[in-house]
Amino acid sequence: MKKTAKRVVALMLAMIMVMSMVACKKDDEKSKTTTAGSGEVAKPQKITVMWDNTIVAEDNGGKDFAKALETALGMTIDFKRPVHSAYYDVLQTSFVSNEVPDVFVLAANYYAQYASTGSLWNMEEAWNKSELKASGRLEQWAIDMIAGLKTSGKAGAEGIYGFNLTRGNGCVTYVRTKWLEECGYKADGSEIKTYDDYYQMCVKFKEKYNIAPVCASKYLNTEAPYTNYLPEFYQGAYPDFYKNAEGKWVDGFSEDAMKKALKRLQDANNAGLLDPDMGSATTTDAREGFYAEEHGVFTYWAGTWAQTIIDKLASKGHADTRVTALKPIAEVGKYVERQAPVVAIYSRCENPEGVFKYFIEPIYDGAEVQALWTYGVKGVHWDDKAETITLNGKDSVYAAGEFHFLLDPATSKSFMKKNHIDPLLSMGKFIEGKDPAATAAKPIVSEKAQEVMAMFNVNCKNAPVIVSTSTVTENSAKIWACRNELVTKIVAQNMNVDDAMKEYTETVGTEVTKCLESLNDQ
Amino acid sequence: MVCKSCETQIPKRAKKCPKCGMPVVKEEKNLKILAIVGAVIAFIGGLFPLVQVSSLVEIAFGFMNGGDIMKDVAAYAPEGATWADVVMGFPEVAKSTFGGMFWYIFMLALIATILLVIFRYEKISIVTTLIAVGTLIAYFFVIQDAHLNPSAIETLYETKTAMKPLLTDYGMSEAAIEEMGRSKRLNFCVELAQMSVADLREKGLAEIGMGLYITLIGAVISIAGVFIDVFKFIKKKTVKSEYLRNNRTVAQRMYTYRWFYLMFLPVLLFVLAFNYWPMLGIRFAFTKYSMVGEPVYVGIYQFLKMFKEADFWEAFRNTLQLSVLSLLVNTFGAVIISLMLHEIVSLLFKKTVQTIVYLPHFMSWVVAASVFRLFLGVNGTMNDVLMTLNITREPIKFLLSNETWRPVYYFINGWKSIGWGTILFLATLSGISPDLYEAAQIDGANRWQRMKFITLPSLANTIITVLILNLAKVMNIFESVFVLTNDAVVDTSQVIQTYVYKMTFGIGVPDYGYTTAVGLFRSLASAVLVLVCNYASKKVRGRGIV
Repeated sequence: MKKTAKRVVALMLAMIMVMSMVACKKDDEKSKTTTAGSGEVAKPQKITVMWDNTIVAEDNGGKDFAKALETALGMTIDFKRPVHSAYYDVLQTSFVSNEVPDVFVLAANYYAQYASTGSLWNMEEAWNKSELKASGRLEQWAIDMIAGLKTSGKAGAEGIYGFNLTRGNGCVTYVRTKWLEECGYKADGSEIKTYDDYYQMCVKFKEKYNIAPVCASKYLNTEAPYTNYLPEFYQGAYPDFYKNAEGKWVDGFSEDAMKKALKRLQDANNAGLLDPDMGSATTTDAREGFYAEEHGVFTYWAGTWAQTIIDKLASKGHADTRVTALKPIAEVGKYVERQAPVVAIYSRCENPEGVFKYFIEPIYDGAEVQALWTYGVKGVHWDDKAETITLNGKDSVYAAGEFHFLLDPATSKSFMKKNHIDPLLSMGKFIEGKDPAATAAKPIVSEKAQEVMAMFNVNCKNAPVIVSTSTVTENSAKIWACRNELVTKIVAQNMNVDDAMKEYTETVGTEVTKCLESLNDQ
Repeated sequence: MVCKSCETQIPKRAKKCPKCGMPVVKEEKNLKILAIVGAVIAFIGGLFPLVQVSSLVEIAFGFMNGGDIMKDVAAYAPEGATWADVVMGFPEVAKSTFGGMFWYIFMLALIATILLVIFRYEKISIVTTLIAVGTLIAYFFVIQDAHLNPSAIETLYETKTAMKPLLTDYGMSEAAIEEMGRSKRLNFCVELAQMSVADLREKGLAEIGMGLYITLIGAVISIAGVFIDVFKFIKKKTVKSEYLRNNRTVAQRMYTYRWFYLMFLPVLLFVLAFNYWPMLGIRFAFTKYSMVGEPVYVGIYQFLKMFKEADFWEAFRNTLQLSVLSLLVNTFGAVIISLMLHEIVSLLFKKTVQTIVYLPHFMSWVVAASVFRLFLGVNGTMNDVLMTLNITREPIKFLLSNETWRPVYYFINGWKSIGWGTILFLATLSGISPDLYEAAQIDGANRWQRMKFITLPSLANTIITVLILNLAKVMNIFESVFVLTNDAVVDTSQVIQTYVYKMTFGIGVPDYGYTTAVGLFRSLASAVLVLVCNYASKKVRGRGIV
């Protein structure tokens, strides 16, 4: 009996082991494709998509969005949603574990680098042949913008490796209107025309409120165009490689303009004008600091964000929620419109043509799918039934058939404003009668958001185009680590700018030279 | 040592078993070690480039010949990427050609040799050694299209300037090189890829790399070792099997205990799958591996690159400094608190204090860091208090200054760990016989003298044990630093693990080969520390930790 029991136990343990190993098996369902006739692009049955929080978050109706999208597209979509701050960590890890999604989103600086490694599928041909391009629904600037995405792939093979879904947008400097008025400025900030004016305004804020008025997330943004959160200080300086007027690639970080910019930042920090914790602050810290009135000058995205900032100030209990978007000061000239993020297809995706045709193209179908990407899901993020919605004690009454946004499902503390596609930045029009928002009684984008966007539109220029080579890709982690470290040392620790530049040359001078050589030698 | 016959523990220098009288004879000692060493040398040779560009051969040998290694590395480093520019293009090439598999066959044959020798199948090991050598010869002279990975070459020789010497060697004129566009350069690389190593050598583009020499030396030693062993020229006498009680074979013994082995099987499989299988990842340390495509073998390039990186050495120094000082602060802090707790008479007060000092241990590092960021920030509570009390006029940048970051780190680390560390010491203290204190008291010893002559000597062994056990873990520091560091204090705070993280997940596409090499180095350093600690532990406690 004992012997039999031993055998049974041993056998069961072995079975458990085998079962657990089987449980580790990978999902073979990835990117299943339905067969199609020759010449026809087959429709994928299932695809995997990795996206950051630029679509509605999972607890904010994200699952409803995924489900609605699956129904509309007639395919299974496995959405992977890493947290925003760890998005690129997770994406990079997926390459190592060989679980790369079929589709993923990339910021401009990552786009060029990923393309140069051969990770991205060249969609140029698919785009040129697409129904979407021929439809006339896309704005001409959008078509030009996509054409501008042409970059070098692996071994220099040029192509379009990503697809923009909106305009890039850019940042404008918001100032608390109340502060402007209390310091003797006009509410529209029209007196702030030069850097000196801007600096004096900050000094006045500091003297009056005894706080550091300017907040931002770190001294250099981690995503291109890098300087967009502190434009007044950086002015014309650009910290990465760019093509100068003579058509030659140069390192903006080691130029005089950057030295002067860093000196300005250092001086401002020494004068107590910059948030002392800026070096380690996240964008959330910076935003929350502005909402909590710990700071009064905050450079952030134009358009819808203008209204979001006002709403957030209201939710924090501020009686006066007005903000003024300053026009760019003379030294800045124009605000910078970033290179928009792209949606890309993995180069080893089983059916990239199918993914492009049946997942990416429909995003601008001018109808149901575009509405999902723009407004979210009916009944979750927006509705057109007769109802009364109460927010902060204020009732909003909507008639039957009238489009209106609902409260955001996660917190119910503000109205939804958009899904991924900001209506102000949308690349394409809806087909006549297919835009659900056409029935809205009042504009779905607030006046403030439109006003700020309009100001940005007339005061913006495109950010330098980011191009990469395999040499740049290989060395950029080291070079950027050095740049970030030195900028922080200069600003937060008063390191001499010239000493910092010397250290820069000593530490990464060789790598920078190699990168420039490879860029100029393309 | 245990008696083979009756399994009795035999004293160190005894000549026969005290129980059964069985003579103590050393085990059969043949020369298999020579064969293993040879195979290992050949294996290491396989990690070095077997073929390389002629201009680098001299430097490579300079490096091998010792001397000032770092100087040699520095001399070669700017062109480091070209070290393995002529590589076996595996396994990317392996997918399209048979030749790419050759390196794997070669290395696997060597591993098989080592295993066969260890398990005393020396005769068969000669076959595997010959397979390795045969593979090598075939690789050099027979197989075409197997030696160069065009995209890797193109990547490494991306610019005209870098490619110039190679193109000049190839007989191309200066003007032709200047006119050469990227696509032509790629074509040239493809052309190179289609040549055999012999062809490349003939054209003066490649030389035999030091990897081949090392491999051949290893192979000769290995084969010689095996032959010497097989023919048993030198063998010590051994105990005759009839004197041994248990003269059954391993297989017979395994059959007897088969059910135990079957029960052990799941554990074995789990350990193999989750502990040993992932270790195969260390092979990436010898490759260039940038996300897409297969890793390209670059020999020890990543290690040489690592050794010349100032950031790496800074991180290495910081790791040791932060870990060792934290260890000392935490251990001696825990000792002091334990002694103080031990002196408390009121049980309620003692338990309360213990609870309070244990609590921080249960707080996650992320939460602890957030709390201290708020507390020690430039606008934080601490600065408010200091400025209100006029102790300082300007806020102190506790976490943003190189001068203050480390003391703050030691403090936070101590705050989190010291309380928990007292458990072991309190347990030891409670085990000290009260008779000793009583006797000392009768002899007129005061409280300080009792602590000095009874408590501390009783604790000494535990202190040393704790220090030794924790010393083995000093290279593992990550989380505590990661949550507290920032760009302003990188010089003092960057440790090996945060360095690896930065190089992997910083802006840009990572080279996993490099970060794996750094990780491997860290693991080796940890292994050395563990062995040192094991040795120290044996000396101090009479038994090791592993």
